[in-house]
Amino acid sequence: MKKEMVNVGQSKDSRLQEELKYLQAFDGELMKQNDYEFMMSKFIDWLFWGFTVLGMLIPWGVGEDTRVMSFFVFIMGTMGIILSLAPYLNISRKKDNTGDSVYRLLRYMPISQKTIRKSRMQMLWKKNIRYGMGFLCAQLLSSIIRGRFTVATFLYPLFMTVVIAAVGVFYISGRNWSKTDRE
Amino acid sequence: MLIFEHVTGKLKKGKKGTFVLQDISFHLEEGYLCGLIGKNGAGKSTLFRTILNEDAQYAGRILYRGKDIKECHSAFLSEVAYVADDNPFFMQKSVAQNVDLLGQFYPCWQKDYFYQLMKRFEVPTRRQLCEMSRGEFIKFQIAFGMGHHARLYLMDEATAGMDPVFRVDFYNILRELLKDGDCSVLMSTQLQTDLNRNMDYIAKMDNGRMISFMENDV
Repeated sequence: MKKEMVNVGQSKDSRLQEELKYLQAFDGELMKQNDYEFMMSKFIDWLFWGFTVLGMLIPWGVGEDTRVMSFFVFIMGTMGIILSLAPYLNISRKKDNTGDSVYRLLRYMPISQKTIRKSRMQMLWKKNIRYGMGFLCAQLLSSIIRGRFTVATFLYPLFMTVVIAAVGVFYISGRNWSKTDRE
Repeated sequence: MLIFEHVTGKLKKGKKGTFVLQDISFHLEEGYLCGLIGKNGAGKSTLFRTILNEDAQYAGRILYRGKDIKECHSAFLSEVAYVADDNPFFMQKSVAQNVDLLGQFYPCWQKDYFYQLMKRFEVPTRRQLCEMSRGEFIKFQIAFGMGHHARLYLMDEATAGMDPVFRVDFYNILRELLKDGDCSVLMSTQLQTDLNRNMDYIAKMDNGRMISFMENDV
């Protein structure tokens, strides 16, 4: 039985939505197949997020200087976000025997590289909001413990969230999704 | 079905630099099998990659069913089956894992139909792709293409190094594909016997140019 063929001339927006749906299903299936990289990605994500919050919650650990703590949080947050996005960003260590990483394998599949990039941006955004909220909660808690509220209580998390987002966006934009050694 | 209109373009080839296609024009109609011939480095694989690669830069136009493929490249790819040694699949995963992952990118994907084909082609489905013989891997790719009802098959040296028994089998599958008249096959080969016996059209390439495109009258 032949199915109706796809509409090659369909609108770009509907095609994009369709592709995002396919990509989500693909990510889900990779996780279901217990792909090592994706499991590690989840683990790293939670590990670094935990460290980040912990860093903020222990004022006696790094003194009362919030700038030192913020720097610690910034480094942890940035590393966490980049490492947890690693399998989605073509920088994964594990290679298939073709020498391709997961998303390079999709280069001849009917999904636009722009869609993959967009999906990863969305993912980064979601993670970043979570990190940002984590910073803010930890900062508030830390201030409550010390009994001192300053402008920095709110400004540091905001500043760091923006900086980490900028690092992530810069990183994702710089990826050439379909580039292979041969092409 | 597939029209090349004065396509001139560059494609990067690793550290060696770039490969240039020069003024390629031809028209492949539905229901036909076209053989692409030329010595190594003539531009056959580059031609395929120019069609397949979203970011390929070229002047001129490539039309598929009357539309420029640049306008919606991913939708175009959903009707294309690429059959080659370097076709990207998860080589360490089994057939079932591969089709579960990749089949869902195709709107017309029919899993049951794919497994029927695999059975008919006598290709085992439990093995990892890296454990398959070359012939089995080629058949798997054809079945995958048929499973998503591809209409344009691009085959890069699919029969190279294969024994005559496989080739007879292979061309029987292709003839079956083409009998409905809504599919086309563009395949590169180095084998003169393949060309003479099986192709409807023969395109000859040399140094990035298509020096002839004619009906096979043998």
